[in-house]
Amino acid sequence: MGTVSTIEKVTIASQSVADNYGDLRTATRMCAGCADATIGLIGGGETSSYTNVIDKFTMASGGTATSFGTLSVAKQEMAAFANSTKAIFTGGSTGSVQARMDRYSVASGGSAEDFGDLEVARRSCSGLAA
Amino acid sequence: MAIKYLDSKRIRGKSVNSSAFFDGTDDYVTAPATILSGVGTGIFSMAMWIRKTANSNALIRYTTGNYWEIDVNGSGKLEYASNTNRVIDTVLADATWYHIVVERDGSDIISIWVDGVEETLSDSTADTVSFSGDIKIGGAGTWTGNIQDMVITSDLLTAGEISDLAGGKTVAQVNPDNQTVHYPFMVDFTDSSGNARNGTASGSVITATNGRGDDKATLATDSLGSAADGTNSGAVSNSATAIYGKESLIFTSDTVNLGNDLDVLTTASDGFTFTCWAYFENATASGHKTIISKPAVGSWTGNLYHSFTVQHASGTTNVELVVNDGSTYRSITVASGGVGWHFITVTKTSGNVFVLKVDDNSSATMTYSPTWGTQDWVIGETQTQSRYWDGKIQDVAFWSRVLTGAEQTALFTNNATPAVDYDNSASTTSTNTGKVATSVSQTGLKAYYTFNDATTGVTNSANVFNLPENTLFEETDTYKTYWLQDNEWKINDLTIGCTCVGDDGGNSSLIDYVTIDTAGDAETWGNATQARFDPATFADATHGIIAGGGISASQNTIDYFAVAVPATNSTDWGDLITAVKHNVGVGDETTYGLSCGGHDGNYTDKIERITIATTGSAANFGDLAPSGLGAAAGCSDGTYGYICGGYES
Repeated sequence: MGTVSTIEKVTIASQSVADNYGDLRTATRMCAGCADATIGLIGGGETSSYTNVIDKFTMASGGTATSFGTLSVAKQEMAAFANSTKAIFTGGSTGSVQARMDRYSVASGGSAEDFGDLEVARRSCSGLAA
Repeated sequence: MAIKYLDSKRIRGKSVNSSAFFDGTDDYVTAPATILSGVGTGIFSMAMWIRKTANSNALIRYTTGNYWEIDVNGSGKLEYASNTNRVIDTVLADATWYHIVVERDGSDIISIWVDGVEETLSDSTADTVSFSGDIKIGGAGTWTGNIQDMVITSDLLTAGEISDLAGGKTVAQVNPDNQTVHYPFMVDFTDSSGNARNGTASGSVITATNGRGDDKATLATDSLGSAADGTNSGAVSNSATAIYGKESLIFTSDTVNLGNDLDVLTTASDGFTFTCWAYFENATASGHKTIISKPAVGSWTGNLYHSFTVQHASGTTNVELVVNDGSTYRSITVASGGVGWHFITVTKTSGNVFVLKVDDNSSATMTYSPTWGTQDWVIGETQTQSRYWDGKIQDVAFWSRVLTGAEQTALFTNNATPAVDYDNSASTTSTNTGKVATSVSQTGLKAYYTFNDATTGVTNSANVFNLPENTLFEETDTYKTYWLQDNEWKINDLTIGCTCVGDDGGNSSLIDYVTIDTAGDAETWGNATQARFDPATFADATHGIIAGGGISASQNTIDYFAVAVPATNSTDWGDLITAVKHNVGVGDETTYGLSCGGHDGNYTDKIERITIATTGSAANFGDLAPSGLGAAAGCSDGTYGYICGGYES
């Protein structure tokens, strides 16, 4: 099959999976995801090349994602996390490992704010918020 | 979780009621040409909230000289029309609020933002058309819908200003430089920029303080639930056995238990006020129908059964307030006005003077000293008497003071709730749409239950919907809890973001963290038990979990680290059933996390569930739809996990 654009919805409490709940605008792998309680954000990754695109989709309704904003640079294998107001994409690879963290307003998206740097530049990391 | 402090002064701009409404026939507001100081050429920014109910709608235009207008075309797309049409990509839905910004820069190039996101325009040529004469807001009578908080500046707005405005801050709060005009359109047509460029209304264009009848209709419509609910097609469903709905709760034989925290009101030195909106399904009550009750200690066989009850009195159209001093009950009544939404106000002074008011109009007064029981405050029922409320209730508020008459009027006139913005996330499902009264002080606001966004169709077999006793404000369908403390609204929110392990040229065990709301470089939190890449991660309020990942080969390790205790390394928390890398994690933030897909030698469809707070191995949780999927992204809303993109075998 190769790289896909599908969004699957998994009910965490009851073990059910809804395939094709939605789609990213472009088939993408090695992307990073985060969300507030309403909006899911999927950023970066590899399409036919590294991408700087961040898609957003409304988790309650699914459907095809729309544009949320752009990363500071096209990259893949980032970590991501968010709270109710801010989303942050960290690290990743442009071909070389990255330390920069891009931050966005969940409400408005757009271009990245330079939030700071990871302690050590790296890719293939994973993010969580608490 | 940690406390996040909200700006208690922030009010969402997206209000149906506090806006100018244009009927699309002959309504418009005439403004002097000087509000656009750069007419012809030159820089300007124009920002406003709009809500349309039809397409082919001119929003603002010059009516003399050359053709120039901003409109919504027949496809529902905003366009800047002058020497040519510059059309956005996004189709604007009817009956939906959007924040728009239209700018012309120093090269006379037009840019348009919708909800803070810049649109691609169909034409990027410069606009240098000249104009004269007044400007018609409302398109000289064609705009069908609402406009609110319109500002024009002779500068370009900054990205931050556009973001703030789209995020819900008012123009007054953002206060951009070089305003040529600012029409809040929340009260009248006055220019708030200080330039005295007041608008002149034509037709029947009105604002909130004119008591727009549309307000009531909007309130009722919203309370019937979103179109997606499916069960609310304009008639209230009385067949429901549970509380559900959006923007209100629908009661049949349901109750909402508010606990005992409100007991402090009974001895408040400044008295108290109870306010709510209640929908009366029937003009005449068949049996008493309880809006709220504070039962007394004891049984219904004695006289101590009413500390405080507001009800639709049996066999009448009256709203009745009943209190009891331990031996005799007393009551006062006010005519309800029949079927529909009604605003109920009860005030009590420290001297036990009770005033019951309906729709800020008729009132009744009594002086009586009730005996206050210790049982919970309950909405929708008295004490085991099956006197259930048979309609809808929303926006229940308690104040530890007697609201002034002006404040009560403001709440009623604007179909208003207390002037608070709890919707800091700009969520489309939890907006405080249309029901804010900025003139009402939050002072003394003890408890406020919007009953907005109750989970659609949720069933509760006990027909009892309990709210946490210590919660002064509850949004019932999310993990968020808001409350008022020290005169600030507070919310449980995620504050710490961790980047876990990875590949820095070799496998890394590093866990570093940032405070999400504070820019700066990441700092070390600790180290995972195993240096590896591409694991699944998720967390609850105290546990961070790292599951699987690769060191080259796939791993089954589950790590736990304390997210509330900085500078701690992770520990072994158990094992996945199958070693996997390139898996993706989603969690409900409280109990479970899922490791989905990945690569265990081949791409896999396996989902394993981990109980976040309990050490032990993962459990089989079924399969993804594809036969194998890895390198995807994941996110969660707390109930559902979403697995996005990736590589499918």
